[in-house]
Amino acid sequence: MGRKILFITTDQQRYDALGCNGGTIARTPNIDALSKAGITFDRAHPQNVVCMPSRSTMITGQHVSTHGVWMNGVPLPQDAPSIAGDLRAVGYSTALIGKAHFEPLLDPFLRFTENRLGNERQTTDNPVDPHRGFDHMELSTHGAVGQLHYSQWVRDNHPEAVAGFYRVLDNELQVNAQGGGDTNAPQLKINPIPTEWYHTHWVAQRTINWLNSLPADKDWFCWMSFPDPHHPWDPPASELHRVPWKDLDLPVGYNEDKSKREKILDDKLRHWRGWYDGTFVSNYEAPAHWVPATLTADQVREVNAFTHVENELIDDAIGAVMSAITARGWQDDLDVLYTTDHGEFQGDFGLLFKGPYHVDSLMRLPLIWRPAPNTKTHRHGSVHQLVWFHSRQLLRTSPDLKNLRTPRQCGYRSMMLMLKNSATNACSQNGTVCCSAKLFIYARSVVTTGFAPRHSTAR
Amino acid sequence: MGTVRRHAFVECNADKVWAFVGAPERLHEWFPITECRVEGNKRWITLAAGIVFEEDIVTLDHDLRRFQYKIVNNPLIKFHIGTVDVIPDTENRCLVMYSTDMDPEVLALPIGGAAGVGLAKVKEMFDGK
Repeated sequence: MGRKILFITTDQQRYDALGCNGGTIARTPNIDALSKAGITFDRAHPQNVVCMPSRSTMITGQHVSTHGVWMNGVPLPQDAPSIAGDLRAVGYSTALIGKAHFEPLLDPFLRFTENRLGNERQTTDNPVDPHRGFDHMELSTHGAVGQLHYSQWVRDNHPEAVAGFYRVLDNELQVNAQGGGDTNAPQLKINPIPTEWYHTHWVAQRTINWLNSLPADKDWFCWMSFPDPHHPWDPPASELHRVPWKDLDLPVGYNEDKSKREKILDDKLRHWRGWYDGTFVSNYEAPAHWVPATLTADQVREVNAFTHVENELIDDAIGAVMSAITARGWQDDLDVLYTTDHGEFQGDFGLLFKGPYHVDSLMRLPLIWRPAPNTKTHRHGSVHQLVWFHSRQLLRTSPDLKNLRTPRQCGYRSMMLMLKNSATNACSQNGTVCCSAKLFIYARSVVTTGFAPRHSTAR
Repeated sequence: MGTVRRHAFVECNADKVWAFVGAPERLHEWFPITECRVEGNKRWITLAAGIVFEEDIVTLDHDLRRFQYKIVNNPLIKFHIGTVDVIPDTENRCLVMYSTDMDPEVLALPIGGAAGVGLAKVKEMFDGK
């Protein structure tokens, strides 16, 4: 039996979201089990703190300055390197199910394949040479609008559920600042949708369906990409009992004393205070008309509660997929990688969302590699198998992957040595291991994330 | 207000290029839309996602080689004007420019992207012809 690779990503998830990383709110037993059986990195950083640049780095292994996706809305070139294409070339079946976001979502002309596939309800554009090397794509974003497969599925099968989601864009097509819930927190809504219709569940079920379509002896690579816990925060209302917001402590990073909170911001570069006061647009994916200085302690609590409900739903979904994989008899041949594209403030510094702010809230990410259990050497220092390193590198030293093409413009040798050394040291411990894989904090992304004076948008 | 502009130098006589891009009913032959219908000063175009825009043709000036249109009767769009100019450079070279000014400003971006695709198509069709 060959190799199976499950690459799990979430969107906008903090390092401390997970129990295995010290999180104390969301219960994440399935992810914790992966951590316990594998390698848990405690210093993994993305190359950029918004979705499209970071995801483009994941699929290409390239720096932002190389792949060119410097901001959301900038499409990844059609012919960019793709790990899926490389694996497909050596016989793997490949799928991407959930959030891709290598291409803009606002696409009324359907110029981009992701949107076109959803609009046409197709899972591939070309079975011989599929888009970005994925034999199968079923895509989703954070709600039921747009062209992607999940949106079409909701509209086709449960049209009454569409209005239950938070309306992501306002009448100006800007990111909506409207508040909801008990505290009127921005981008938050009580969503009456049944859990079985929510995108987290849909992504898991579609993943299971695709896996069940494969022959038992087929090697496969599946990128299962959950759109949550990215805003809007609108998980199924029936699940909110999991984390009652009124019971939550405020996060350590949120200082209730306004003057102390603002003193911290004043000691930072000016764009911190500028965004807080509403004089800078520092990230076009945060609501343009929302001013962080208005954020209340209770809003922080409610946003955190909804976020952790979403984290628990993701963990449940992963559990379902792992059970399906076990039912196929693949569990011992399965490499699992778990990570996210960037973090979220969740109240730290009195802020929500993200932007060009290079602190742990946004830059320290969960990264877990659970090597295939039948790889006997994995606990004894040898990382001589496939390691896909977060937002940066693909290492190919496994004998069964020796025919892989060397990725274009992916300098991975130094990282390979570093990882081997890290893993050697870390794996000498028993049980759960933590490597300090100190990557590159990409200072340039202060620029590449793109922040601009608010007055430039003329409102 | 969002304002975007795309341009392309085309290795072809300006009058020849204008005869094509200055024909409002031929938009679908070069711009990434699926349908185009013209009645008098009105034009309706259909986008690939199924959206139909109703437009008023406000300028069709063969001397200036300028075409201007507005998207109208659309509850989302507060203001729009699109402009296509063909400007001679040399006898066999011209500059084709497509400008869009729009509110909501966000919509100017996909139209700008589509204009880039359209101009590339014009260049492909007329370069060296």
